[in-house]
Amino acid sequence: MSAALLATQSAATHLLAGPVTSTGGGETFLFWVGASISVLGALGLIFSKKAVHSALCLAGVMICLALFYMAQGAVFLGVVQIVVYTGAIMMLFLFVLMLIGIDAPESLTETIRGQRWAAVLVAVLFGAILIGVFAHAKLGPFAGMDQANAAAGGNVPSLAHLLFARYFWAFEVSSAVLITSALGAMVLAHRERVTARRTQKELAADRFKRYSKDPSVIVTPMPNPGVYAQHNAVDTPALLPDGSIAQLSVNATLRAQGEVRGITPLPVPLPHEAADGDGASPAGANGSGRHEEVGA
Amino acid sequence: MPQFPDAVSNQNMTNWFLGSFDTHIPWWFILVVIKAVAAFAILVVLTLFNIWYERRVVSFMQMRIGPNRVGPQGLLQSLADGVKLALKEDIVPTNADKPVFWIAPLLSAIPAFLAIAVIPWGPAVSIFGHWTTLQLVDLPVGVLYVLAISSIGIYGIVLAGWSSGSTYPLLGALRSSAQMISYEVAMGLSFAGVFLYAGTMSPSGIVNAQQHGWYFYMLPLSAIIYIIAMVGETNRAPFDLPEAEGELVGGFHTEYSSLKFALFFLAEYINLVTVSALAVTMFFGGWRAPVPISLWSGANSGWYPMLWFMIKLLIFVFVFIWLRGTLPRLRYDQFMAFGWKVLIPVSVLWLLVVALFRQLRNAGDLDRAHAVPIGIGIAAVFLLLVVALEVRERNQIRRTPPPTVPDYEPLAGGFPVPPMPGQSAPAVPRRPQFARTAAAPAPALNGTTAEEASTR
Amino acid sequence: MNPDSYLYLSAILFSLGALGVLIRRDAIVVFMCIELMLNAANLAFVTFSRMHGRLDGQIFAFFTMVVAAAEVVVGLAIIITVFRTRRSASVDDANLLKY
Repeated sequence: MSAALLATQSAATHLLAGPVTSTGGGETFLFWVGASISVLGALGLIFSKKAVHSALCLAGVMICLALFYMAQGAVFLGVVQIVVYTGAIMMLFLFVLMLIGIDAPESLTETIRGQRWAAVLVAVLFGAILIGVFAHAKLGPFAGMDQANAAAGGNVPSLAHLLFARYFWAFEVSSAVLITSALGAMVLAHRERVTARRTQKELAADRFKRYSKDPSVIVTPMPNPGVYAQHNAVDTPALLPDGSIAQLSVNATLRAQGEVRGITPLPVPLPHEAADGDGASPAGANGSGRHEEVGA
Repeated sequence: MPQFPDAVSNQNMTNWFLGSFDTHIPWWFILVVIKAVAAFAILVVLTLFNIWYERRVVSFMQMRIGPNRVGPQGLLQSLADGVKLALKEDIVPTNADKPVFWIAPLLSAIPAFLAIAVIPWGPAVSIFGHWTTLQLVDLPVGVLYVLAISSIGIYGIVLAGWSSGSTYPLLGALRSSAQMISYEVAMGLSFAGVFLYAGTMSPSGIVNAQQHGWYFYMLPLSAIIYIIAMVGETNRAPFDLPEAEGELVGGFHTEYSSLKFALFFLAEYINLVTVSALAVTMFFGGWRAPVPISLWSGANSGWYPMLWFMIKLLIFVFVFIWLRGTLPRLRYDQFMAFGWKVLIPVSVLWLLVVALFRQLRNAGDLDRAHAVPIGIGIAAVFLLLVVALEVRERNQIRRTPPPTVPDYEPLAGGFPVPPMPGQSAPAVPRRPQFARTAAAPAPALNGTTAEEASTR
Repeated sequence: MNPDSYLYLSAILFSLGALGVLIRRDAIVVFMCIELMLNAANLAFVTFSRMHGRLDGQIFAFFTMVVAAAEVVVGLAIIITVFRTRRSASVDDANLLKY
C-alpha cells in the first residue's frame, strides 16, 4: 500500500523536476500564465500612479516567481520566497507607505529633458543584449533536480547538507549582516524621548484635576450615538433618560455642521391597546420628548 | 464494523463511466478534484457550525441562552446570517481606493481556504477502488506552506485597512497585521522544534513520526508557545484589540458591508480551523487515536481516524471559544511586548535545548534510559529558575519601603476622593441619638426580632 | 517549451526593473524596482541550478534573499529618515552633495 501511496504522490508531483530539453504540459501552461502575469505586474510596478499599487504588483510578481521556483524543483526556496519576500519584505514596504504616507503622486515634468525616452531606449537595448547573450550561450540539456534532491532524501535535507557544510561561513556572515541591519534600522528610526512617557494613571489623574477646576471637562467616555433611540447611525443622537437629546453623543464635527439627525416620534398606540393592563406604558423612550412615565 | 464496498466492482463501474469520455482523465486528477471539493465543503460547513457553536458556548458561559430560534436549537442561525449579509447593501466609501477595496477581502479569504490543502485528515482510504490518503497535497515543506499562505492572508487585512480611506481602519489594520507578523515568528520557532524531532517538514510525515508518542509532552514548551501564538495569530481574544468595538469600532473591516464583510468573517473562522488543525497535526498526533482507543487495532485505519481528528479539532475550537468567553482583553502594547520580549526569547532558548537533546540522541550518545532523567532534570532546573526569579521579585517587593503617602485629604483638588493605599479615612463620628447601644438596639428590619438583630 | 524560457523571462524582468529605476522618482518605488531586479536574478540562479543538476544555484538564491531582506530594512530606514527631515521622498530632491 505504501508503494501505491508513493505512486499517487509522485503522480501528483510529476510537475516537479522537468525532463531534459522540454517540459511537460503542466509546466508549460504554468510558465506561460505566470510569465504573462509577471510581465504585466512588472509593467504595473513601473507605471502605476500610486505607490501602493506598485507594491501590490510587485507582490504578485513575487508570488509568480515562487510558483516558478516550485515548478523547477526548488520547493523550499519557493516557500521561503513567499514567506520572506512576499510576507515580510513587501509587507515592510506597505507599512512604510501607509504609515509615513509617502503618497504624493510624482509630477510628470522631468528634471533632465528627454530622460524618460533615453531610459526606455537604454532599457530596451539592455534587455536585447541580455536575451541575445542567453540565445547565443551554449546551454546544455537540463539535468533536472531529481538526482540532486534525492541525494539526501529530499530538497530540504540536500540543501541543508550544502548550506551547513560547504557554505557555512557564508551562512554565519549573512546572520551577522542581518543582525547589523536590524540594529541599523533601529538606530535610524529611533526617536529619543526627552520627557518620560506619561502612563495611563497620570493621564487619568490629570483629567480629573482639570475637571475639578472646570466642570465642563468630560472625564467619562461619551455616550454612543443612537443608544435607545431608533437608529444606530453616527448622526442620530442618543436620548437622555428624560427624553431630551444628548449633545455629546454626536461627533463634534457633525454638530458644528448642523448635521444632527432629528428624531421622529414613535407611533402612538391605539386607545384599546393602551388600555391593556395598567403597567403597559409605551415601551422605551418616545422621541417627541413627552415626559410621561418613562422607565416605569 | 462497516463493510467497505467491493473495490473491484467499484473500479469496474467507474472505469465504464470514465471510458465514455473522449479523453482519458487520469485517476489522480479525479481524486484531487474530489478531495478539493470535499475540503472546501468541510471548511464551509465547519464555519457555519463554529459560528453557531461559539455563540451558544459563549452564551452558556454568560448564563444566557443564545440563538435558539432559527432551525432546531438555532443551528441554522449562521446560514440565516450569511444570507442576510449577502442581501445587505454594499457600501463603498467615497475616499476608498476602489480596486484595492475590492481585492482585499479576496486576499483574506482565498488563502484561508488554501491553507487546509496540506493537512492530513486521515491515512490511506479507498475511494472508488483507488487508495489515496485523506490529504489534498503532501508537500515536503507542507508546514512552511501554511506559514507562507497565512503571510499572504495578512495582505488582505493591511490592504483592507488602507483602502478604506479612514483612520480607524488604517490603525486597526496596521495593529492587526503587526500583531500577526510578530506572532508568526514565535509560531515558526515552535515549528522548528517539531521539525527537529520529526525529521521532516511534511505534515503526514510529522503525523507518522508521532506513532510512539505525541509531541505535546515531548516538546511541552513548543506546544504552549504555539498555542499562545496561534491565538495571537488569528486575532482572537484575548489578543483581539485591533478588532474590538470599543477601541477601533471594527478595526480593518469597519467600512466593509455585505458580502465583503462576510468574506472577512469567513476568513477569520477558517483561519481558526486551520491553526487548530495544524496544532492537532503537529502536537497532538494528527489523526492518530489517543492511547486507550489506539489499543484497538482498527482505530488508525480506514475512515475512523477522520473522526478522531474532528474530535480533537472541535476540542481546540472549544478552547478558543473558552478563552474568548473568559479572559479580558490585553492592551496592544502589552501583548506586543509579550510576543517579542517573552515568547521569542523563550522559544529560542527552548530550541537550543531541543537541538542539543536531539543531536545527542541522534549521535547515540544518549539512549532512552538516560534521556528521561536528563529531561526531567532540565525541566527541574527550569522550574527552579522560575521559582527563584519569582522569590527574588517578591523579596524585592517586600524589601522596598512603602512609598510615603501624604495625609488623607478628603477634598483634594476640589472634589471628594477616597483614601489611597497607605491612607486611611478618619472615623466618621456618628450622631449620639442614632448610636446603637445594648439598651436601645436598632429597629427590627425584615421581620427579624430584636434579639436576632443584636446577636448578629 | 524549453526551460531556457525562464532565462528569457528573467532577462525581461531585469530590464524592466532597470527601466523602473531610471524612470521613477519616488525613492520607495525605485527601491521596489531594485527588488524586482534581484528577483529576476534569483530566477536565473534557480534555472541554472536546474540545468546543472546541482543545488548551488538555489543556495546562492537563498543568500540573495537574505541580503535583500537586510538591504530593504536599512534602505527603508534611510528613506524614512530622509523623509522626516526633508519632507520629500523624491530622489531628485536629495541633492545636497551636488556640486
